[in-house]
Amino acid sequence: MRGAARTLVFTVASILCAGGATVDVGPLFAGVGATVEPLVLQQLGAAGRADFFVRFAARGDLEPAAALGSKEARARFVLGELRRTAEDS
Amino acid sequence: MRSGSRELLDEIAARPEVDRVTANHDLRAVDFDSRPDRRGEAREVEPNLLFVGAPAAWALGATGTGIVVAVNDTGLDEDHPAIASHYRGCLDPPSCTVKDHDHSWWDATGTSPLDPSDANGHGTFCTGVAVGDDGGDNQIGMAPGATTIHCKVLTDGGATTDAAVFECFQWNLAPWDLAGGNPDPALAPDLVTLPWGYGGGGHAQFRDAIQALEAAGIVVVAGAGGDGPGCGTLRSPGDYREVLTVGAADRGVPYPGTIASFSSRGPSDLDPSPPYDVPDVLAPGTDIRSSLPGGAYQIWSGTAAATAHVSGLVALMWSACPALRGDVGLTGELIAQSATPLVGQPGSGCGGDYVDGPNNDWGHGTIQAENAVRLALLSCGAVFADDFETGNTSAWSTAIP
Repeated sequence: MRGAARTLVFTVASILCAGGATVDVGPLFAGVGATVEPLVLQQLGAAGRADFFVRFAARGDLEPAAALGSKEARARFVLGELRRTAEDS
Repeated sequence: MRSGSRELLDEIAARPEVDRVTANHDLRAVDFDSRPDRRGEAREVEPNLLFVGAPAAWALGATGTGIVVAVNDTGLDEDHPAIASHYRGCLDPPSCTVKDHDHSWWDATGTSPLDPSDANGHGTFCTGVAVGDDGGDNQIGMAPGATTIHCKVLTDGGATTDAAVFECFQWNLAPWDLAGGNPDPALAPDLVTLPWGYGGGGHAQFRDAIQALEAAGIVVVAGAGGDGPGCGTLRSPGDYREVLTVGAADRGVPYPGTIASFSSRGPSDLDPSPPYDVPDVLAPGTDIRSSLPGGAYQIWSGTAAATAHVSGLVALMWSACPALRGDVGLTGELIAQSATPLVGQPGSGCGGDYVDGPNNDWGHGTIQAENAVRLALLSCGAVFADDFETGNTSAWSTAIP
């Protein structure tokens, strides 16, 4: 059960990564497509495998949340928009 | 991606829908100066709360009632007398013999997945500064009417990873149960407290997540860090434009005090256009007495304690004016407007306005809880019998909300 919970959590992690503005995490290596942080390549070179985050280019439009009347409605909208953006990516 | 190979990385990075790939950074986030409790007995309202006018704010009817504060830290001793009845997982306060941790506790470190715990103490301490009150002589928290939920993002050794930080931000937006299921935005907190930071600053990987939380009407309050007095010493995410960043005020002189030497300073170069001054405000951060696991109390110093003061302040303001709840931008403006500039204190000269603020040393100044709550009430249409609106501070103690 615990393993299943963690899987769900990391699915949502990608969702949150999909919203908002530009991220900049130190110097990045410009590859064929996405840019890759050099630390990821270092870790792969040293251990063969590494944990890393994939950030999608698509951004959810979160601005309409501000016009919603309740806090719950805002949170629900943001969650839905991030999920939709991630699923479409 | 867990344990990905180089081949998989290349395949992912070549896909047009992928923007970038970043590492899962490790972080040792917590450092603080602590020393034993100064006395064996309690002292009613703690002097740091008096310093910023918290009792006067309470007298206006603002205690944080109905507001939920999330603390992403080392965890919680949910049985501490000053905290137990404030924890949302306590179903029968004040005895708290019946508890339900679903949606109120999550451990992203895997240390204690089923029950709150905090072998470090940092999370329990900061929670005490935000809401602590044992119903007796230990009034240690800014917003004694507020309730709390907790995500353990830091190990008991004070370390974390990007993955754990992201996991807690997700849980903040839609807290799930202990099994990781049933995420529910209706149970999201009103604000998130981050009393820690990535040393050196410049770690922008959490901006997306924090922007999402704030779009949902959740204020994110972060510590500046304890790496001052040099300029450009902010930690992340305290160096983000989006968060409400808090430095530490030293109470060695009367209010508004001085900026504590250890308090990290701006500027931040994360997002240069347009430039912004940071920290936003100062709050008491030296010789703060608060709760520790096992029913103990101790005195610590650090911007973590200062951060928890501002979390409590947001709770006070939103309980005073429910219409303000969720308005992240205006709330920050009112906190800045009600703060008192440290006129004549150039700090380390890190840049900005040293007369009216803001600047990169003390921001807009030291928070003032009564004034902040009054501004919140005004935004709700309250009318005061005194001259609060015109700045006649001598009469501010008599308000008619």
